[in-house]
Amino acid sequence: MLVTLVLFVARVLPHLKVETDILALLPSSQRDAAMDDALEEFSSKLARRQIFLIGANDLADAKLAAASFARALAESGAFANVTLELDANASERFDVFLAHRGYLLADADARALEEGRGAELVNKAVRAAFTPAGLMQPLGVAQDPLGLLNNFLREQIPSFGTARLDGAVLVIDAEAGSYVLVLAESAGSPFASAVQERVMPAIEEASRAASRAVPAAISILASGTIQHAAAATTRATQEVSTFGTVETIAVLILLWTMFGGIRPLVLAMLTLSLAVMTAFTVVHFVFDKVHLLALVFGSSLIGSIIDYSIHFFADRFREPGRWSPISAVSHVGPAILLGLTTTLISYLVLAFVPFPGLKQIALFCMVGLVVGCGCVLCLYPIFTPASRRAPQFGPRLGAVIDRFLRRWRWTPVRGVAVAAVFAIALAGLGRAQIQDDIRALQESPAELLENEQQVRALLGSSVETRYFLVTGDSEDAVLEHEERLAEALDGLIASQALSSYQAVSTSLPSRAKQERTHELLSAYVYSNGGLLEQAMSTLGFPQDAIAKRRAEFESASGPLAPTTWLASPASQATRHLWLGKVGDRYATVVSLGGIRDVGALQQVAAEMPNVTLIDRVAETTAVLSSYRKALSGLLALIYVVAGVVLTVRFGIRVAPRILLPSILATVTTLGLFGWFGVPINLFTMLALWLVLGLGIDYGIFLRHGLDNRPTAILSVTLSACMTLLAFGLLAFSATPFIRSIGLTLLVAITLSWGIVLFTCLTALPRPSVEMGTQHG
Amino acid sequence: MRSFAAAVLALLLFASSVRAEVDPFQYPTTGKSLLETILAAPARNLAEAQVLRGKFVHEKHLSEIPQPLKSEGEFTYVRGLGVHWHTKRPFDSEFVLTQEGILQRDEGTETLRLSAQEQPAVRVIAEIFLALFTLDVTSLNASFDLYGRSQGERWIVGLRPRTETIGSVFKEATIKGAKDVEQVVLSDAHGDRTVIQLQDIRYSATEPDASVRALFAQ
Repeated sequence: MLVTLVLFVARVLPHLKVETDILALLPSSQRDAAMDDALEEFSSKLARRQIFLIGANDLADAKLAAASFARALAESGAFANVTLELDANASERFDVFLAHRGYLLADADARALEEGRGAELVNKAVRAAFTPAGLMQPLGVAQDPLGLLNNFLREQIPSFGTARLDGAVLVIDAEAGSYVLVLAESAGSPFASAVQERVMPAIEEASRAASRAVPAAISILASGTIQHAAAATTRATQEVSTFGTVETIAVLILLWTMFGGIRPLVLAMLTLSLAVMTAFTVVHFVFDKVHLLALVFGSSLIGSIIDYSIHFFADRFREPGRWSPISAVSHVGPAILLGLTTTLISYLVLAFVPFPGLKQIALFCMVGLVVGCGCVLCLYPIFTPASRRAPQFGPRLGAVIDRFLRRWRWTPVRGVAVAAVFAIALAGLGRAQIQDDIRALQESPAELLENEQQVRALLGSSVETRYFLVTGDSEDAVLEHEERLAEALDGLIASQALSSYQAVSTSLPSRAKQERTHELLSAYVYSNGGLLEQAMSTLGFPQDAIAKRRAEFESASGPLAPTTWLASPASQATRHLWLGKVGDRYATVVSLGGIRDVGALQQVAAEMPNVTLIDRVAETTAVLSSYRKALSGLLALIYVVAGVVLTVRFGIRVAPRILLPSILATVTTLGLFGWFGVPINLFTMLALWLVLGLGIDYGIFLRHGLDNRPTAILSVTLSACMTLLAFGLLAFSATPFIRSIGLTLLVAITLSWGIVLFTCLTALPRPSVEMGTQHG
Repeated sequence: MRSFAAAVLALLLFASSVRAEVDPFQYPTTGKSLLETILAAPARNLAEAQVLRGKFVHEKHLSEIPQPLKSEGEFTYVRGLGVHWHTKRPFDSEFVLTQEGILQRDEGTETLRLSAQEQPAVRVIAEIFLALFTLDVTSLNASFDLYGRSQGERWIVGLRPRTETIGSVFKEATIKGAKDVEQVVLSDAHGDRTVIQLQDIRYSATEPDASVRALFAQ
């Protein structure tokens, strides 16, 4: 025990990492592992990106505030990089293109050369030389007489939506004033609580610094995953701790009023802490981080472990005066162990489902349950005083319920009435709504969403979560596939299905395309009497200047190779899209902006081999849905297994009485959800998993306690109250997926408790009532 | 002979004084003080003008070509719209520069279009270009270090970009004039120069009519 405590305090607490991303609970999808890892890395890089808009009425104020903001962010050390001033060294970025200019052409120019419209190019270039248009080009007339490289370079400028470059900063002009853009990348995953704890205060501090920098009022808008993730963490941990505290107090009051004295309280709390700490420690060492959901489910441990304590202490009411703790072990021990066995079986199944998060929950619960159960059965007998007068409130309550149940007679009218009530409830199943959309399960505070919406509206574009993955056997194959995709995407842009895309091949054409370009240039531009000569002599360049350009072309470097490109500043804008060698293939990402027609994108992907449309949201929804289905199936399977175990132990006539409450509570809850429009999701199914274990426990206890029904009833009633306290509260959570769990348990546990008393403790004149109910 | 020598000397002296005037970069200043002093008079003229019309001679001096590339035409500046640059010789070409971007039409066919939204640099250059002609030195001061000198009615202002974005387009610029802006010289990083002379500038304080506005239709 001490070892656990020391380990927990010294090793686990300081390194504790709480993960809040629902996606972390899910397995990666059906591609090969290496590709998944690469995509995972790409997505997490995207998730680390943050956009801040610092606004003021006056642009100068906005700039000053933004400068303070950016400086404070950078100094905080919470960000891998903070960008206010763009790397404006355009000429450096152009150098590598200049060196390989013999192999690069804008698509429109290549087409013009292929179609023999070279004279047009000459004409345009000559005229541009006489107007101020030349000023707008990166390269002068002498460097680029035909403007071919200028046209290529212009395609390289990344788009920032509505933002314009003002000096070196990006500015958005809005009706209410001007905004200056600050881009940042957090150092670490936005879903890790440790990163959030550093980033969020840094943003607050930077906001204060920005406000201090100018006397005028400023506004700060933020868009990024971390805000949402941090809000989710704060909310969830707050809720868990609030609910946890309320629950603990309630548990203490309940235990104290029922059992009197301080010792049962201390023992129960000790058992609980030990179980939770051990579970925490084991999960921490096995998984390295603890998912929020494991914590939430961990709190269900409180329910089960307190259940064991309750069963133990309630046992003393069985034979007041003559009761001894050792006899209690022999009396409740088998029931506790049987209950533990069925619950462990269900979690064991969960542990083999390929969901990383579910494995965590399963491990957390199994470790906690075993430790808790061990404490109750081994420590309690030693530390509990043999005889003690306990308050009689509990036994009286049990006796009242018992009297009611003993008087209960299943008349045909009652049977039909109950059956009808259930039948109506179950009819709701037909109306049940399934909700697998991840966005509905991870709902952000309205204020954040509004903020995000404003940023999108101001920027005029949004960061899309969908993108294309392009693969190939070699670097060049990938680029060729990408070029084919780019052609199709140009078509989609023309038809307004898409507003923009970013691709590596825009600045790094495939080898084949570069060779083709080189041939075009040699044949039409740099040849004797070619377009270059025509343009230059028209402008009045002397022959030797023309010869010089031609010599430059002849002696220029070969095609631009991926390694050169990657190492140069030219790849700055799209380097992150280059995934390089992944497993035994090569891959790149083509990112998208302003998607208006997803169907068209899907069609493009379907028509092209080596191109996949990655849709994280849809994928997650599909995964959630398939696992919801799998869990439903497994749940049914476990009921069958539990049925077999119970039949072996109790016989064919009693087993259904124990099993029925959980089953009936489960389907009735789903039916009621249908009627009341509560959507059903993966988390509903997870909660029903708990119902299975707890409901069967109730049945086992009631059957084991037939010799002292009031005590057994009291035990089960207290257990149900504990669980309702623990989870009923979660029904008021603002986090949708936690709310799902809470609501499901609130309804299903109440039902289980009510039904189990009747199925286990009322006399059944005809089994048809039970059958009738079951079929209803 | 003596008088001839004196004349040559006087000419040389005059020339050197002109050269001193041509190099304004020894006199750093700010947009605000320029407007209060040497640019006070011309800026006042410009401040009230809604429409500015005139003739231009545009010369591009390239180091490799002995003769500059010279073109002539008429320009129209409309406050809040932009500049319509109509080259008439050696060929007919319209160049329209607005906040939204640039557009070139040669004999009625569009040959170049750069949108400021897609090409942020175009917007920067467009703003500077517009500010150069209207002596909007306060806005120029945001991106440039300013210099200035005056001699009687004549003045010269120098600009050096503070950021590399603009620096990659031109290294320095000078604006010369008296009552009006008369000459703008832009020197780029490669040693090439663009010299623009403005003549016969007419101001109009009234709102432009539809025919003028039509010049800017995109």
